Amino acid sequence: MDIIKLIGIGISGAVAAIVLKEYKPAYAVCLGIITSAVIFLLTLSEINYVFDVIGTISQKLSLDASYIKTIIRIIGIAYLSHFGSEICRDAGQNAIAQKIEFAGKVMIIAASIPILTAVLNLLIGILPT
Amino acid sequence: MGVELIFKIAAIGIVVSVLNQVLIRSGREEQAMMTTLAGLIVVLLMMLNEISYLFQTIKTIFNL
Repeated sequence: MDIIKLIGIGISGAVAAIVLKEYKPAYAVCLGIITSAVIFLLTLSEINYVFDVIGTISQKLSLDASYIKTIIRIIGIAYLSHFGSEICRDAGQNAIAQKIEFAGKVMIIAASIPILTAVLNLLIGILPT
Repeated sequence: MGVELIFKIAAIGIVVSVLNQVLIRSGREEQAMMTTLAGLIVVLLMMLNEISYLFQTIKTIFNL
């Protein structure tokens, strides 16, 4: 799916949302959600392609698969929390958007704990005791 | 896959707002409110499938 088509979809969604915002703001928010969802779903094949390549490269370099998996998980959490918080900001709810971003950060830290412990163990092992 | 959904929702929104104005002008405010709510529910239901499909896909891709 080339970028021109995606930009066209986004702009037409935005224009439709502006038209609706004047009469029924609720529909404009729904339109915003749907347009962003459709744009993400249309870029799905490229995302799959990139992650497959990352997977094969990490296997070739015999990196630990769990680290790559954690990185991809963190990317997913970051994307989802950004998706949710921007939609809340579109709807004018800045407080809720901040809370979603805060929750996303907490989840990311929680997901990265194993890597942190691994690094710390490595450091402790190196330091001359 | 979803592009026509955008314009379907925009069409429903416009139709509901026009219907709303007609009903208000003819003095039936309650029915105008009802049609707005009904339209909103229809839009939300249509959106529900797309959003659940989106979150399911994200869950499989990023193995959350």
